Amino acid sequence: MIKKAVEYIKIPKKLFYGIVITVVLLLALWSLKPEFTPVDLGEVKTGVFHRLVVDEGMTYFLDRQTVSAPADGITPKLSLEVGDVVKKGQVLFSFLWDNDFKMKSDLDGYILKIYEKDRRHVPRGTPILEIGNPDSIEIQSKLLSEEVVDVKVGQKVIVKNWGKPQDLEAEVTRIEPTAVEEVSALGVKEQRVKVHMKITSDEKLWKGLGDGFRVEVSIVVNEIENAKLLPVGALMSADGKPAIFVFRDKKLHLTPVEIGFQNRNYAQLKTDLPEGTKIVLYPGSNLSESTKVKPR
Amino acid sequence: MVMKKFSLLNLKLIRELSHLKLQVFSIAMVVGIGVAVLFGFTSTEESLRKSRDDFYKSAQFSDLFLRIKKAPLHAVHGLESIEGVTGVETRLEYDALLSVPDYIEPAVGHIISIPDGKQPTMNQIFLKKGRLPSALSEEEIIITEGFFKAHKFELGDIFHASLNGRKRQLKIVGVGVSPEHIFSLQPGSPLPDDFHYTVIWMNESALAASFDMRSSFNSAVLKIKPDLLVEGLIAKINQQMDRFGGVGALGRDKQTSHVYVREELKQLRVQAFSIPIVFFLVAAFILNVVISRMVRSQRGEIATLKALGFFNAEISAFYYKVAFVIIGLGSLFGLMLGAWIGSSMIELYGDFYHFPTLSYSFSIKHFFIAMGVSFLTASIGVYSSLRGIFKLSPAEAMRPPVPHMFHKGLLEGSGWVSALSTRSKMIFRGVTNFPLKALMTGLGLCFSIVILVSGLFWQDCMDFLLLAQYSFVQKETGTIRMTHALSPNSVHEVRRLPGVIEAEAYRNAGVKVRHLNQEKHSVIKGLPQNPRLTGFVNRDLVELAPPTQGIFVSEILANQLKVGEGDILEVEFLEGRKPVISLKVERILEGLMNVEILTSRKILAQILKTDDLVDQILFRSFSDSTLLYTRLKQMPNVLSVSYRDSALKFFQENSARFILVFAAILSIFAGAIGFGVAFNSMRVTLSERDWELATLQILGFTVPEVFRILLGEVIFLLILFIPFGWVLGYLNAKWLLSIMSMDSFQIPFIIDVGTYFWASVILVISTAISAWVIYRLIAQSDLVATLKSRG
Amino acid sequence: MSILMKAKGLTKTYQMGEVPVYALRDVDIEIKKGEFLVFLGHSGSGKTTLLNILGGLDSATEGSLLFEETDMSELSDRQLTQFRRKNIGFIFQMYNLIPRLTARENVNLVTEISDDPMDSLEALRQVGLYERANHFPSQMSGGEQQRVAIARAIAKQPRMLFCDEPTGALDVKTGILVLDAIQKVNKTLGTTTIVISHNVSIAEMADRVVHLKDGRIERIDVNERQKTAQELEW
Repeated sequence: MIKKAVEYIKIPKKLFYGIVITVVLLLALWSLKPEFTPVDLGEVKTGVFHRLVVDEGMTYFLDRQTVSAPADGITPKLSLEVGDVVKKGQVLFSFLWDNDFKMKSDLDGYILKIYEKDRRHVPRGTPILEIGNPDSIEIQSKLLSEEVVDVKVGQKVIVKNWGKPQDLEAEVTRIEPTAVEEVSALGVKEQRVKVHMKITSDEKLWKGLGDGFRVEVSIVVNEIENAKLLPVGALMSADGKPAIFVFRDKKLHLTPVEIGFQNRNYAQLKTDLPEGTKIVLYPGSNLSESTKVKPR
Repeated sequence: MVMKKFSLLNLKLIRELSHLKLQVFSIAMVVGIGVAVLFGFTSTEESLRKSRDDFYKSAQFSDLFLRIKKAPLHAVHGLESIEGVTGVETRLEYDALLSVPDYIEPAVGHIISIPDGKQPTMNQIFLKKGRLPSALSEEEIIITEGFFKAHKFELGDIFHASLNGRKRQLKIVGVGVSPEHIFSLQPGSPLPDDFHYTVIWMNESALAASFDMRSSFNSAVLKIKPDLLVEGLIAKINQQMDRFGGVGALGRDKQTSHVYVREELKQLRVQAFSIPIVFFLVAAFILNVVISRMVRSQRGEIATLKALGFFNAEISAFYYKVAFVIIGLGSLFGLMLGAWIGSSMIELYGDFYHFPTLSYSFSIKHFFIAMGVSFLTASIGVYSSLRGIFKLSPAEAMRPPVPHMFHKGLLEGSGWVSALSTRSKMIFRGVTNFPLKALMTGLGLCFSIVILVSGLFWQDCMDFLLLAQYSFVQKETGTIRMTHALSPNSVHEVRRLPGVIEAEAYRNAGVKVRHLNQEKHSVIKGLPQNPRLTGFVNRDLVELAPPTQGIFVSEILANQLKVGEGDILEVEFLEGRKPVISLKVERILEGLMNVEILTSRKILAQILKTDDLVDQILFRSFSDSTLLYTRLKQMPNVLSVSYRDSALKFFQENSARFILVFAAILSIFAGAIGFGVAFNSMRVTLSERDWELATLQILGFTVPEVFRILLGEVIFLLILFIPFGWVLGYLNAKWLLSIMSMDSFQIPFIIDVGTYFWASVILVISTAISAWVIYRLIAQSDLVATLKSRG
Repeated sequence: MSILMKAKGLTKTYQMGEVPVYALRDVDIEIKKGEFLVFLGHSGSGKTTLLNILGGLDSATEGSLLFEETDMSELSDRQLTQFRRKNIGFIFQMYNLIPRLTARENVNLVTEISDDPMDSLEALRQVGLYERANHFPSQMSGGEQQRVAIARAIAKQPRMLFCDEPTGALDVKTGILVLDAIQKVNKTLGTTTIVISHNVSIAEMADRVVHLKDGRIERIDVNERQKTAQELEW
């Protein structure tokens, strides 16, 4: 029965070839379809731009006492250990001179460093141990003289990499007037100015912080309200000038941009681009306006 | 009488061949290509190998390489006294930042010392230009060819290097290569970058003075007795020299240049055999079809010869001769083509591998191998066609053959076949009634696709590899390496440099990792918190989170160590206090171009019991950052700067030409197969059914209509076998990839749809060309004469 | 009866090296509609050549040939093919069926390119082979194959039927069957029929018998009475 029906629907040769050609053409179109390069997208945001001065800082117990040899004499074998708690007025040890000289602590705190642990004959002035008061903790940072000009007392500081994941807050308390010459990590001579900061976060959060701990400080030297924020990962250059790839209408648009200040995460966007504009982050070297892209 | 018999047959031979001109040509072409590839590739491989072996020998390539921090010169006696060591040479090896005039970006020089004014005893320098530095000179140097050409230097030109913090002027007096640097690759970069990297050979005294190593050495090369187990010696050497720091002794199998050259030769060898097989198979198929036809049509003559007293062997000899003449012609053509292929490839290799002399040579052995293989396959084709005839008695053979009993083919039970036009039914049954011929023709056609897919897919893999690596794994503009591990403050310094957009610091530590009985040298890379310039992707380019607790191990290394996620690796650090610690493998990275172990910087600092130090900074910057590079060049603790895009661009520019030529040639080869198979199939059908086709013309069918029936069979086969070709091509490509696994890359298996399409297009075009030739033949045929020959 | 074809002065020469060979010399003939012609002559007499030229399979070196009003010498190869397709049915000594098509399909081959064909089954019925419609040539006897060829020839309802030695490969009984079929076609469908034979007895079926010798028409006989195929004997 089916055979009879099919007999009537003779497939003319033209149709047969037509089908074949259509299949081939479809395949051609599909293979020539432009390959979409995956990209990561970010967005232009509006918000507060924090202009920062970032550098390494170190914790320091301001209230400290270095107990040194009062005269030429003999230090005893100390039973004290670093970290031991001492109280103001507590006798630490006896220094052997003409007679036993009782060395006392001037403050409450704990032992930071011990220089002479064993019995030894030392000249006058030799440091024996150091005590520090953790309540007097501050953060000190040696900033580049070029950067310190923007730092003012009272500015907010964000403290990172101090040991726990959450950041701490601090405040600039004092800026020293003189710069000191130092050699940078990469071997270059620099002029640096010491800046002091006080931790303002709740004490409970930073209980573990000791003396001489390395931290990273970001001093907020300026807060620009209603700034256009451009994720720093979007920046690249075209003809030596800063530019970004804007992703609009499924296409890439190479847009030169004017930027102001930059911090670790954002650049201050001076070119007028609407909030929410999608931009390509970390564009690969093969990207151009003609590349077809799709968000990853 | 015997003489007469033979010369008669030879005359027949020549006449037969000239009658089949086009078919002879197309078969010879296919054979020729197979021979050409086999010959060309094997001779290229041999030439390269010979060049390498000659160079290794004449330049005294060392067997072992030792890098240490600093050892006194007299420590060499200890090494010499080790049983099995036949020679030791000490030297100084340093990396330095180079400042090239008129070139913004700093380059890196790998400096090796030579005995003042003289060739070293091992790893000698072959001078391509110029001379050795004079004995007393402090500034004369030899550099590598790639760097010399890239910067268009001339002998006598000057540039500067930052040696141990001090800027020194260097003068180029020679251009050379040593067996250690046939392939010149900057460590840390997966691709060579001739603009930013060179090897520098310099007088030992001058180098020692700069680094205060006058009576010390930090590098040594050793030669050992042949056939000695390297591991044992290495252990003994390390025992002696471990206290001087460093990673320990390494054999040639860890020497970068040696490994790259070895892998390249391996690739050539594999391709030399895997590609021609297809061509020889196709040639055998076609020969079978053609000779079978010839034998069938001469059935009566063969029977007569047998009746007259000719032996089977004598008659077969004729047909073998036909096949051999065709093969011979093809092989001759193939040899010439192969020699051209070989010499062209050698020239292309010269761009990447800087052998002292790269000359193309071949031995007659290759020729015989190629010929032997092709003759063998042809013989199989001929033999199978003759068997049928010889089985019959002469009387039987003299009778006309029983006409083929046509039957409705398979699938005719279903209704759609009867719905076809009658002419379409002719096409359909022409194929289904001769399944063997159809199969051979179809397979031959799909081999054309297999060849192209298996040859071109490498490019698809490379494209993906490069896309992934340079867009998603490496996001930096450049990498700064410091002379030693420094305070993490250094990253702030880099951030402040003019033109820098962002920067991140990393820390690297050399380690030995062990799992079960496997031990490997590797590097652990410590990542900053929230790394932005290094990405972790899998093969689908999905981003993965960085390691937090344990370590990530890249796939290649994990396979070598036979370790999986959750396993424990024993890690021995080769610096500082050399702690040994067990670390859990958090994840295996489908690493593409990297062989490494990743963890966080914090964990590294904890293990090594040091501050959170860093020795590598990745940065992103605006281009044309002249100021940036000027400043970098002035920093004493900056050891080297490398650039992500430069190496990529250099590679792409140099390989683009190669790839295009290769793709074009391969397409022509595949087209040759397509043409050969389609043409011969149609030609044979034409001669077998000439009267049938003449009848159609008499019945009133036009030439195009008759031709379409002939063409229809081939098109039917194309439609069936093209997809099969895709599948075969896919499988073949997969197999090829698996036998060419490399130590340093993990090539992802990707075949772009466009590759399949291009392969199909080439096949269709070559079939169309053969169809056009056949059409011309039909149009010229005299149908009245054809009918007369039958009637 | 009206004239279907008119040939005047037809000559066909071949060059065999230096020597010209005359296959036909100065042949004049008129073919009437619906008549049954038999061309008689020994091999080499030119009968096949004449048939080929009349049927458009070959062209004359000299002379004119008119089919109704059309001058055939003016036609190109493609036009001749078109002419054959529409107007002429051919039957050969060696049947010339397509071996990979069934009887019915062999007939369909031709009906699919005709403007006004007969139903293929009907054509087969006309030659008495309706039951064998789905059989392949290899499954049929010589006579049956030739009758399929006739069915194929008539299925397109041609103006003329040309038969070149239709019974040459068959025995007497089968030959008569075939000739009977041809005669029936001529009588019932009115198809102008030309049969070539070297067998004199067959001539008794014809309206007119054309005797050829050495490329010329020797004489044309008119049969007063046409014998039926069954009445023939040889």
